Amino acid sequence: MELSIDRVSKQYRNKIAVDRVSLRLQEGVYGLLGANGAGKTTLMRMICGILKPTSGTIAFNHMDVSTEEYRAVLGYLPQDFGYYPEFKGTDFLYYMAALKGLTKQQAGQKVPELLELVSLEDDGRRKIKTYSGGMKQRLGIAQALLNDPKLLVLDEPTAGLDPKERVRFRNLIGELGKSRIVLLSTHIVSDIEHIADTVLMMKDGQMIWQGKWEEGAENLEDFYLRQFEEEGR
Amino acid sequence: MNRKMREALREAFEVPAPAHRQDFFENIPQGRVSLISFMLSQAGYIRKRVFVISLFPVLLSLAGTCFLDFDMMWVISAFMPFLALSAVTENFRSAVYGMEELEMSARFSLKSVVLARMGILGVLHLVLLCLLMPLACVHSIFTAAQTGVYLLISYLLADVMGLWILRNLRGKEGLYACVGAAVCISSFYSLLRVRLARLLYRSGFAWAAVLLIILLILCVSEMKKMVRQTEELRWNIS
Repeated sequence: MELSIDRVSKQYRNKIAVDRVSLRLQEGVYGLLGANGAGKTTLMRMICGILKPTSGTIAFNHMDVSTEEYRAVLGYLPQDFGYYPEFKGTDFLYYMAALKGLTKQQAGQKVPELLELVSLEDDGRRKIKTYSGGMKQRLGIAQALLNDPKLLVLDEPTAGLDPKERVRFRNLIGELGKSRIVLLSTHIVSDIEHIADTVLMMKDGQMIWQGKWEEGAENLEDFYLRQFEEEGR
Repeated sequence: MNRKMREALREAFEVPAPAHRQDFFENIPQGRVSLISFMLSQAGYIRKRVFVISLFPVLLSLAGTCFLDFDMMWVISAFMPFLALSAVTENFRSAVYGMEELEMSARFSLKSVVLARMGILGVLHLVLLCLLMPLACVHSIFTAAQTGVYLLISYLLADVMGLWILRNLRGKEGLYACVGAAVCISSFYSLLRVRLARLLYRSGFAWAAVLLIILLILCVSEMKKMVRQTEELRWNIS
């Protein structure tokens, strides 16, 4: 299992959002750290096939990012997502299950399972517009897992979650990362410290550092800030 | 082996725990949904009000023709922009309600969703037009074919304007602008129907046919641009 990102760039008129990023990711949890505007979300959108790179290629097990087969093994949680106003929690998951190619029977099994996993089993029949931010985020995590993805891309997944929910989420991601590639981006350094096996740091569209990070090693936040100072020299 | 023996064995020996259970489940070939099944399933996600709005001109036509002896062509022409509006706004729901990113990253991506909606509503409205043509011309000075052309002009004008607006204006602002465009076209038909009728009667069918062809070309062009737009996010703010 390998996600191959080869010299991928994304350029707009007067800005390079992602600049020749190359990565090879195997099973495990990868934490993508970077300030606002570093290019994390742009990179993630290209990995999910919703933005086309200006140059470079992205492939999962030799399946190009633009193919249906690639999207069939992908689970994505965007930084911010909407919903159709008439949808209840279960309606949303059934709709996403249909888009992900699950049969009604498969969806019928997965939806209650995932609602229980994200502690929304009692709220599935309520309209999403009545949900709190944290509930909506948990619903987003549930939809990302519908098709049992081999590649899970989560953009700011812990935003809006309370500390207890964050701990549950970390444990869930730790389990998921054992048999799939999980790429998550966040501003919250402690999330990366606790969850990620490998840390990727971005600044101004470039990957400035990547490597294994073990809990108990140097404080990640200090290390992260030092990387920026070194880059600035 | 008799039942008693089986029960005795079951009680005497403990069944071993299943090994590699999860691997076994993951390797079972799963049924996959075909593209056709997916497109048909999208019909269930089109809002019910779109189907209700689509039936309204037929019912109106029936009422006017059978019970009021009224020339319904101009009434239906004034309603057609709202019919077009219901179809256009349904195609752009993903953008209006922020579902684009999720739909674009799914196996059946946003392009499939939009094409499914366009196809289903397109077929429905074509069937409606075929029903409306003979009904709307009953008390009219125009033939069924001419009535069809004039109804289509009203529909396509709203369609082209709506598609252009929603391609260029994001979110609910686009929706409001589309409603405004539909109201303007409808008002034009309602207020100027007598002058329009005289103009069309005097100038003949040819000009209307030319206008229809132009609108059809513009409509197809706008639809192609809309579908192309679903292949990539047009905006990226981070």
